[in-house]
Amino acid sequence: MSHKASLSKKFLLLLHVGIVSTLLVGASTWLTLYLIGTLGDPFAGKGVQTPDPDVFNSVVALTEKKVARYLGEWEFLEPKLPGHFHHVGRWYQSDKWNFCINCHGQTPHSRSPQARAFLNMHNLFISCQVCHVREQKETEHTRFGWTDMTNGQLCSSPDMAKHPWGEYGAKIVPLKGSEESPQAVVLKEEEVFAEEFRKRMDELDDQQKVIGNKFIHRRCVETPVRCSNCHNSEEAFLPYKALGYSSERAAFLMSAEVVDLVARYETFHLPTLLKTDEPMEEGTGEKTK
Amino acid sequence: MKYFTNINCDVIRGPKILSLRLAPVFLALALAIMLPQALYAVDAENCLMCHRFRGLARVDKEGDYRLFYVDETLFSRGPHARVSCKGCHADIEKIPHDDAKQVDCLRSCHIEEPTREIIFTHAKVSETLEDSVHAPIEKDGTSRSFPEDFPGCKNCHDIPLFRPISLFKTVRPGVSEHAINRCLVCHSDEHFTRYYYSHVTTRLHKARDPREVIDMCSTCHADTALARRHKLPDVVSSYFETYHGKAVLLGSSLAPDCLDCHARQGSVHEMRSATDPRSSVHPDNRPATCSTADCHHSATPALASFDVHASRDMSTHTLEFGVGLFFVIMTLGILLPILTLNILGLIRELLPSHQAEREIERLVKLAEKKAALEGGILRFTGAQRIQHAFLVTVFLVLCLTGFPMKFPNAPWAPVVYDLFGGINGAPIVHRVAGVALLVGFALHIVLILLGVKRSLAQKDKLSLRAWVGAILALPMIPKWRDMKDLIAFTKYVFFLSPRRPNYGRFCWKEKLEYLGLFWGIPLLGVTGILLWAESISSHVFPGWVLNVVYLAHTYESLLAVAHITLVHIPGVLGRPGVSPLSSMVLNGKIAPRALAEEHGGEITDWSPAEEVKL
Repeated sequence: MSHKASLSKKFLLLLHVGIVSTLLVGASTWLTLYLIGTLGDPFAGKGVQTPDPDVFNSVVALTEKKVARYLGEWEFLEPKLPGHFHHVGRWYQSDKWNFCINCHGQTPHSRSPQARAFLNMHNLFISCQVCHVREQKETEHTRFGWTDMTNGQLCSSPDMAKHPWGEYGAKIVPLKGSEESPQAVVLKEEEVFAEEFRKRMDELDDQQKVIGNKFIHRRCVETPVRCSNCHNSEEAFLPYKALGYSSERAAFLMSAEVVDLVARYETFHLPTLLKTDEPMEEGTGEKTK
Repeated sequence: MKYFTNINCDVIRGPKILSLRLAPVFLALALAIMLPQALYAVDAENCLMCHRFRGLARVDKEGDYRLFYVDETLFSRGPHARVSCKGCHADIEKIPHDDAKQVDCLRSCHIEEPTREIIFTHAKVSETLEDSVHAPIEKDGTSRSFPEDFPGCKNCHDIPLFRPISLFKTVRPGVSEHAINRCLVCHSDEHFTRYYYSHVTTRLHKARDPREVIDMCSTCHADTALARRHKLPDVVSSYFETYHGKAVLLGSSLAPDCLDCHARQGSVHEMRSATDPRSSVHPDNRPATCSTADCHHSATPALASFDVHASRDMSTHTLEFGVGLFFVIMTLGILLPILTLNILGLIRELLPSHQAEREIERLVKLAEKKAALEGGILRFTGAQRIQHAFLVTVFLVLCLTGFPMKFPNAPWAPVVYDLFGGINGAPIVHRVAGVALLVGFALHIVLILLGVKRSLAQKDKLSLRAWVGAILALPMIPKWRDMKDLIAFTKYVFFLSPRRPNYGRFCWKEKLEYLGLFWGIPLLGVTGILLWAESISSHVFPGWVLNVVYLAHTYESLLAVAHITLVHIPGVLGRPGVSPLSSMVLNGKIAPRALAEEHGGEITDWSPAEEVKL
């Protein structure tokens, strides 16, 4: 046998012995730990859970934690919401595109006790910039389209009848540019800035944080679009039919039933994203009259 | 009324098609159940105008996430489907409304109870709960410790969902279209008919799958901090150590869950302490609870001494701890030294002594000559190979049907189990394989004894002494030489000696494995049969014996599998040049080098004349 062949054989033997030995050591270690773990107080191996504040429960509920329902002929998983009585079925499709949610979350409206849930509901299908952003001051959005929630690309109007209520996989977005080649109104500069801002948050001093925060929100308007701008009996801010809503649905959104509902919330929140000069009423988040 | 076309959730499993012949029936069932389903909820106030949007939610000032969405499809599939929103949320007087108050589940707000034409209420549940172990206040009015830990309605319940079953000729999940069609002869409203069919048949069996029940109870009983506050044992993990719990984890909807034993009679809300004489798990009542018609009906009261919540904690379950400790010491005491020697042996193979190398090369040459002359060296006869193949097959089946039961929480467990028919098939396969192993083992002994008898008959020596002597002389029986070989091998792998022992036909490791079979197979067989026939066992042994028997079975099975996978397979197939399969198991012939390395003593035992001839 040549010297080279002998070395090759030795190397293969070394490899073999190494692999087999490692596997055996790993397996015997697991076996030892497992067997010893089978003895004693079962609670001893489990750490005592720290006091579990409701906030943490809520946050956990919004993660992938799910509970299984076994109904015999079919089974399904659904999010586990602490203290929630009604079935949820599943969580709604998350918005992978809109950078606002990185800080504000999927349920950003929280100030007005009565309107906040309604406003959050509209988050499912209306992008933030429709109500809160103007590219040019004093210039209202007039053209709108749909943008895919997964990639931010403009897309055709979803077939709403084929989707659960409000969950179309797309959001309404204001448009700019020519009719032939429309573009979604996006805050590209702010988005890039915000990403860096979040990364370097710990390095910034208080003043830099304030300035950065102002920059990110520089094109946000002080008086956003209000509910009644869309839900009124005369002219809606959003062109429902052009956005693909059926005539019946468009009529319903401007019907007395909805308009009256909106009108009866007289204390509707007047969003004041950046206004800090008026004192808030303690506890409610409402401005004092 | 609106028809809904999707379920709106992550479906784990849809309707289970049980038979191709019945496929059209099940397809119709699936369509009827899963696709167009009417919303029965009375929504006169049009609450769903807003509450059908999944995004209707907020985070309140305490940081709690509040979701106001109502899944119409799921809501329509439960007994609350005919209750209007205002039936529960009675404080809502106008739309738009202010924050709704917490629903009082006990209020008389529900639909009319049809048999007595009175308004339905859950108030009776409250009376039962107040007399249960879950009440935060004692009967004398004093508060129990940590009253905030005691469950309210929503801790155990979310909106119930129907689990209809078909009782037409057989029991299976879902609605029997045959039965529905018969109902429709008189009841023309199909929605009404399906609703009541689902409602009634859901009540004919468990309203919730055992897995859901256990999840519900585990919320508190598996909470270490809560259990410690209330001085409760870990009843959840001990339950999962029983066949009951393991079967549930592997998908059995018939295996008993917490409620089956702890609330055997009457309302499930009648949960009482085991020390309460009215409790179904009170020692006086356990025999009746265990031996109900659906469970261990032929068992004697002795079975009731089986401890369903036995742990292996020395302070509370000394016997179980002792048995567990015995098997842990035995398993580790056998395996770890052998594994250590095996690993050191592998390393020594990398650095063999010159003496050992020379000796092996000498023996290889002899063996090669013999193999060339005789067309190979036969190590195992055809009968031995068949027995080995049988043992391998049965052992594999036992492992594949037993280990999912041992580790039911493992992600691979249900996958492997389903290969053998799941919880309804795999246990049967396991038992059949177990019996086959016992029969095979008995045949092996018979064959050996017949061989001994034949040998003794040829010598015309059939006395008891001759029998004993012949049996002790069998090649698989350990001899003093094996001890010397073990010592020599230990010295060799620790580099204390250059002499590598030349084992005979069977080495000390093989003999140890063989003896292991004589210990393991009868132990696993007997304990398996006792567990299998638990009711019959109760006629002979008290139930607590089954606790011990279970431990013996589960620990011994792990020892057997660990020995085979860590010692036997690496020792045979793990040797260089042997994997993936030793030709010995097929043709019975051993390679000259393998013979020289592993059973060199057999070559040196050849007669001098034979050696000269070679």
